Amino acid sequence: MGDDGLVAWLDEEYQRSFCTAALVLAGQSDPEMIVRESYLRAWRFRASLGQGPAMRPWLYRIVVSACVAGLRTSPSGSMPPIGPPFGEVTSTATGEGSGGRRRHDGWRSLAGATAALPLSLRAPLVLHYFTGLSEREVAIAIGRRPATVRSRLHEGRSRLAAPDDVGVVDGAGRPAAAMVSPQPAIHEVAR
Amino acid sequence: MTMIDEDMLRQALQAAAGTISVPTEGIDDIMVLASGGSDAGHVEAGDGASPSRRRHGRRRWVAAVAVAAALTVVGLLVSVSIGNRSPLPSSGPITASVAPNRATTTVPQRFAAATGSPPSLHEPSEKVPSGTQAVRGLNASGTPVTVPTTVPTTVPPVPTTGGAPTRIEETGSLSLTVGGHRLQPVIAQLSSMATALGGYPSDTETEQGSGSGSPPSGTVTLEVPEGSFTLFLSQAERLGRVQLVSTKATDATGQYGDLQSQITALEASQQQYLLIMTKAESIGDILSVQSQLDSIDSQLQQAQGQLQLLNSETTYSTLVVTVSVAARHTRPVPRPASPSGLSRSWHDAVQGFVNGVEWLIRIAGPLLFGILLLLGVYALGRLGWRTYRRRIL
Repeated sequence: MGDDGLVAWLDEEYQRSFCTAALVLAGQSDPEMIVRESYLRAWRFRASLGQGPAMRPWLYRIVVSACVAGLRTSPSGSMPPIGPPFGEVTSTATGEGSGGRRRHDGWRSLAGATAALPLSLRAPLVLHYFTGLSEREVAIAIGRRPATVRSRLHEGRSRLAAPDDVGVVDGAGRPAAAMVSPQPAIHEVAR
Repeated sequence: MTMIDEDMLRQALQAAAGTISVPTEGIDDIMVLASGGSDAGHVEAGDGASPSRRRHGRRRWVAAVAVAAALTVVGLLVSVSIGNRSPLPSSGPITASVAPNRATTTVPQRFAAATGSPPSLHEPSEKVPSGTQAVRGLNASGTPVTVPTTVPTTVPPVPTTGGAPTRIEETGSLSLTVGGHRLQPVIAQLSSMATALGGYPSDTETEQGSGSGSPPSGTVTLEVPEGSFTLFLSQAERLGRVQLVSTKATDATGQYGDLQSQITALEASQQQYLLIMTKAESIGDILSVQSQLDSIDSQLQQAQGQLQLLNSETTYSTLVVTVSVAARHTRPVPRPASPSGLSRSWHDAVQGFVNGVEWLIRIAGPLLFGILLLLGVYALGRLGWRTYRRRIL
């Protein structure tokens, strides 16, 4: 792939990369800065870029590394959330009725609970369920074995089903998931 | 185990991502920055560079300062190690105070007083303690050296009593180098000189050149009257090039007097026992007195033998002269009297180059240690970062 093709591909992936970084950072750092850093790094080392399907895990490996570096150097919670609060989805945006409102309340709560997960669980969940990487590609992106990724995904989903275990509480001592959504909404979407 | 539905999670994350406002100019800005230089680190912090890039720049500064500090420490270590190095041993102080090829020795003051001669035999350039011996000559590399050995004399400072003659036991050795075919003539001349002064050659040994490649040499031991030892030594030194002169003078007056007193006492005892023998009547008394007489006679003969030996040693001084033929390649190459300025400059340039190479070799060790230390720190840092990343991700 030439430089023009690479630019076009990066352009295509920009929005997804930005959102991935924002979900992984969970409002603790600036995703724009992280993505810019990642893209510049990818452009600088484009000679080592893989071909075809190897390109995506390669790019997201860079993004995840930049996120880790950003989280390491930024004090937790120092950056304001980008755009609306994480997981804030209103029913008016979708134009659905009360059933849709309940479902979107569940999404909102679920996204908030995901943000409260530790990075080791949050990153594989975002990469797999949002970015669309396979378990093998997630393994490449985070530098762990596929079995570990599988285990992390399993654990992440289990902890999301039990929001009290997420461990993040608001100022009143309530779990973070409960802060953004009534408890039954999560259990409603649980298997 | 209860788990979140995958589709629901996927939809929740998609919905959450839908609320994120993605800057539309973001990719264009990045491409502008990328086209400005392939190295992202070249982006100036003032034109909108990210805090991360500023951190990277700061990190590079910290790394540069750390490297500079490490190099400074290594440089200090090098300078300290060079400063602590002791100067090279030099024979300068030894050779500077002694004129080359000059034999120097000091004899006991009592000997000097008795003979009326000056304390040193030949223009002394330095003094050694009384009663000690001095060895002087050329070392293996041809450098003149003087080594005063600290061998104390066994003669206590006993004053002369009743005008008894002072007894000095003097020995010496002389090493000469002569040219080509002069080995036998020099040895013969030494013998004739000793004979002319009233002495005699007590031992002569010569060794002609053999297959071993060693030059011909000879050794002659001369007994010279004690009063003529100084004269003979000075004459012998003129026969060749002096390599080594060693003399030793010991005052034996006290020992001589002791032996004489011992002999006198033993003779008196002997006379007493002889008188007793004449008055003895029983066989037991006779045998007892005879036993005592035999013992006294044995002691008397031993003391008289020692006295004769000491008398001989103090009458004649012993000088061992070693004569060797000089090797042909020992002739020194004459050096130019005063090199020209160009030659001196060239010599200085070569010397400077050699000094520079030596300096480089000298600092190579500490420098290598410093580089290895930095590499180790870098490797540890990398390992720590990877471990940290694996732990949190």
